[in-house]
Amino acid sequence: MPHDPSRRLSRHFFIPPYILDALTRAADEAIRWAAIESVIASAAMRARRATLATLPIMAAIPSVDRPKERRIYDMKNGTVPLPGKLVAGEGVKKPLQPGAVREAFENLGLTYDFYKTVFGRNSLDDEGQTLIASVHYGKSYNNAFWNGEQMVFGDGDGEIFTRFTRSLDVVGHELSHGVVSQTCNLEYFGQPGALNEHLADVFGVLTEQWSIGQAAAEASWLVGAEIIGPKTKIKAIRTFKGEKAFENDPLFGTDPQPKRMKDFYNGADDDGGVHINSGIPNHAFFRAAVALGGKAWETVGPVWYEALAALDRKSDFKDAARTTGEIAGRLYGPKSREAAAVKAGWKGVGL
Amino acid sequence: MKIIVKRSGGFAGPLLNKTLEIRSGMLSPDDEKALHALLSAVPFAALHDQRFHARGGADIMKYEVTIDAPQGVAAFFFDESAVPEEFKPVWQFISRHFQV
Ligand SMILES: [Zn+2]
Repeated sequence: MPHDPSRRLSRHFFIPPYILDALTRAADEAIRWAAIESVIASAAMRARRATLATLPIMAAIPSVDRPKERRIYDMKNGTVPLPGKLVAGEGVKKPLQPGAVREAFENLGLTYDFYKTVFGRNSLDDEGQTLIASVHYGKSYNNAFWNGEQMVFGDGDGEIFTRFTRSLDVVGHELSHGVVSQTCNLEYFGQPGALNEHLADVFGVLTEQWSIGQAAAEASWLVGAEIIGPKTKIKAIRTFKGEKAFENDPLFGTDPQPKRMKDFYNGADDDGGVHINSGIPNHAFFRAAVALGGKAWETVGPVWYEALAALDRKSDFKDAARTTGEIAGRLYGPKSREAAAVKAGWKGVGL
Repeated sequence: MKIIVKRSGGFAGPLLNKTLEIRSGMLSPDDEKALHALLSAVPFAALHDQRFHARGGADIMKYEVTIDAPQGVAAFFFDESAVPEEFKPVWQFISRHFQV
């Protein structure tokens, strides 16, 4: 059995926090990893005891100037306790086999690289916060989520959905919920919740477009196309474009996302329509990006990135429209084509 | 006995909304007996009309559970990652026997 220092450090010894803190910066990779694991484990215990009532635990981990750090855990088809068994991380030398672990590791890496390269952001908290993901969550689990501490990915049932880790925009979406939680921290209900979903979708698709150097005009603007299984004919879960992602599908019916304020969903389902009404700001973003041409992460991307810090917990669609308009004016000039495109994008959806 | 589980939320939003109904006779006699034993430990009055939310999460599945059983009657809501402690044994049983 391979030597696993994390067991020794985290489970068999009590190590004073100041020593553990120092060990997280140790030169020896195995010791550093084990120490980080111990910090994560103890922080997770504290967070669980507080019933997730405090700030996301990872904010408590010493991380200034830390490089990219990923930790992939295997839930082995269970659902508790998270995060599961550690199976991959920056310290692992052996090559990863094709599958969920490798996909999560690589796609988290690409999303980290996107934020770092394009916006100079060092991870979720801009201080190198360790990216934690658990894969193989549940049996045939058709979902991926951000639990306030980490990302969680199901394998899908293989019929409707396949592995959620397969899609870079899905992984980017979940990681971006972590970025949102560390910035404007939009509440997850109604219009602020739909903006939360919108921002996660925006940075998810931008990560994908950036990773393949794709211009706005060439992009699919689809969300989750890679996870659609063989038993359904829908092309994606959502689209930023003005059309429906699917219509009259035997399984899913018609894409519920509106693209104009006049079609705004006012019901209570889906936390007040967070995944439904996000179609409106998504389409505004698409209109601005396509009108400007070029690469969206270079044109409208910086505007939306700055909006992350400028919006607040209660911001609504009007706030987002006003804020991104102001940011575009400041970044490119009030009379710039960028500022005009952002305003026209929002106007095109009725805002 | 009737237990209705309504699922909503998740990355795909309303696409995966689902309702599961568990009635007497759907389980083997032994399993039904086990479920009734677990239901006996549920504090129905304390759970009724309560909402249990995870803080800071996104794309988390949500469940609305309605139980009408000899042991009691209750309707309550919880996020997947905030299953009420007193309900966990029943939830684990349901998850093992049905696709929720
Ligand atoms: Zn989301």
